[in-house]
Amino acid sequence: MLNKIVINLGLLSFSLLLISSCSNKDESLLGGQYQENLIKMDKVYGYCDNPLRNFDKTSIKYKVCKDKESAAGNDGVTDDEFSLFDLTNLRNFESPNVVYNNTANKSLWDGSMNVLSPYPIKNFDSEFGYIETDWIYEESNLEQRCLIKIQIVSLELVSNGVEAKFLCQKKIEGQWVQDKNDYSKAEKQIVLAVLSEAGRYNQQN
Amino acid sequence: MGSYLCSININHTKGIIMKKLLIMASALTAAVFSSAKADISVSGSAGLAMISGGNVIDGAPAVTAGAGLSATSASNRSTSGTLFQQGGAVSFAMSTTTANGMTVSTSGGITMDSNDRVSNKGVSGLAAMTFAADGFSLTVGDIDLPAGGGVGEVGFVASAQVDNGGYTQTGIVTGVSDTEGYGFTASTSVGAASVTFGYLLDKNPEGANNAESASGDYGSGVTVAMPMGDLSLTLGYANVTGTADETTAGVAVSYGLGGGTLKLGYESTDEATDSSTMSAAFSGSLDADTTYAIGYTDGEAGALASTATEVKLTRALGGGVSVFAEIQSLDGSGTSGTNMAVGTTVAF
Repeated sequence: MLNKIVINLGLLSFSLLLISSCSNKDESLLGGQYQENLIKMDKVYGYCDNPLRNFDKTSIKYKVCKDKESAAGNDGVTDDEFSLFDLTNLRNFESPNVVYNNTANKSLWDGSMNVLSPYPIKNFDSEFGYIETDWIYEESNLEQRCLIKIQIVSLELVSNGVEAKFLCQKKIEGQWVQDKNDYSKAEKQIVLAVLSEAGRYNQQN
Repeated sequence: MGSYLCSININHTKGIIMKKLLIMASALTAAVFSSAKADISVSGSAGLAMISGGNVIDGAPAVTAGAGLSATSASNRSTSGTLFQQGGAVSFAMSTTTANGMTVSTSGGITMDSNDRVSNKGVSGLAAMTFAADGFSLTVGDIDLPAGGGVGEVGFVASAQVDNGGYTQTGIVTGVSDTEGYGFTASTSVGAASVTFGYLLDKNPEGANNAESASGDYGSGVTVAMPMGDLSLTLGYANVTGTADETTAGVAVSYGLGGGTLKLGYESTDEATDSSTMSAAFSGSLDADTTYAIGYTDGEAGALASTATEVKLTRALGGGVSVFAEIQSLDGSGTSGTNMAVGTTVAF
């Protein structure tokens, strides 16, 4: 009897998964902070030992993950160049050079920078995964302008790990005002382009 | 791109230029975006270590029949020398994303274990699939039971390499005996808390990729992790049935302190021989590439009692290479002594 109940619970979980994939759960009590919690627990336990990921400690996936973690060091970045030891830093116990892990997936970051490379970049923060272009103008009409904002919200390369926002303005009587158009379709195109480029960078790495 | 823009025939005067800008953005994204989102990535690692302590044992341990494996007897010898051990692993990760954003993934691999004595290369994985959508993840197949290994055990900070040094302890037992089998796990968040629930349909499946639901060997487990101010609290509970029911419950608290992380844990297991452990660990870094961890575990299992102190130092050298040194000091029930291991790992 209990077994049947739990099997039904599993089927219910799968149904919830399908339903949640079709809706925007960013603000919901159930699942709304899943990615955010994942990042917080990564900082506490490390990516591989995060209990939310539930890696089998005897699996190849966990073993390779731990070796990658060792290779990346405390800053979470695997240096390209091989260096033996820097005893100067090791002696400097009073002020160790501690660099905390980035909160943005590197492939998503590289993909975002590549997609926005044709446009002037006004502001970016690689640690928190934020990129903002400067105003983009058309030569034939300087009365309108747009900018693009990208926020990487995940340490993992996942489909919902990047968000994009278009902001467009028009000049009315000499003043720039926000237009009221819906750019969700273009925002989705940007996200898909970033994901595609991120996948390419991930394969190369 | 210019010919694409010229082909547009827009009658409205208002917003024409912005539409062109959006078309330009769409053309840019269309040029790099393809409808196929499937991805297969390969990664791997290798390791080499020297281990010493008591009488080290080379060769391979005995293999119990089951899950497609034939039984083999142990083939080893115990000597007072230094054990040299190496191995590697290749991990394949396969994933695809549906049009509505759900990700489906699985993984598999080939390994010659670098942490434990083995006599054969192995193939693993490919027996579970994960479905992940916005804020929810479901894994079906060969799973590890959440909290089955004991969330309250935080003191073993060294790798499994140092366990081959020859000195042993028998008084520290955490978690239920069978944590792996066929079932499902589901993860999501409830407000600021994160919950992972798992259920084993069969904790001793006869095959490597299948199980039936009337085996009588079931298991369930749940972990809940939540921030509490500057602390992070993780609670775990797991239960398995079968010949004898086993239950384990534990709690772990983490706190950022002095540039590092302090963890405290407690685990209690109710089985044929009841056991409990208290543990503590502190991890930090000396610089961007050098990390250290110190752990202490005090355990009792029936009439047996042991303590274990572990220290690990890891240095990333760049290019995916890291070196490590570990010490494990065991006292109490078992064969007391100090095991040491030094070695290198490479991540590809």
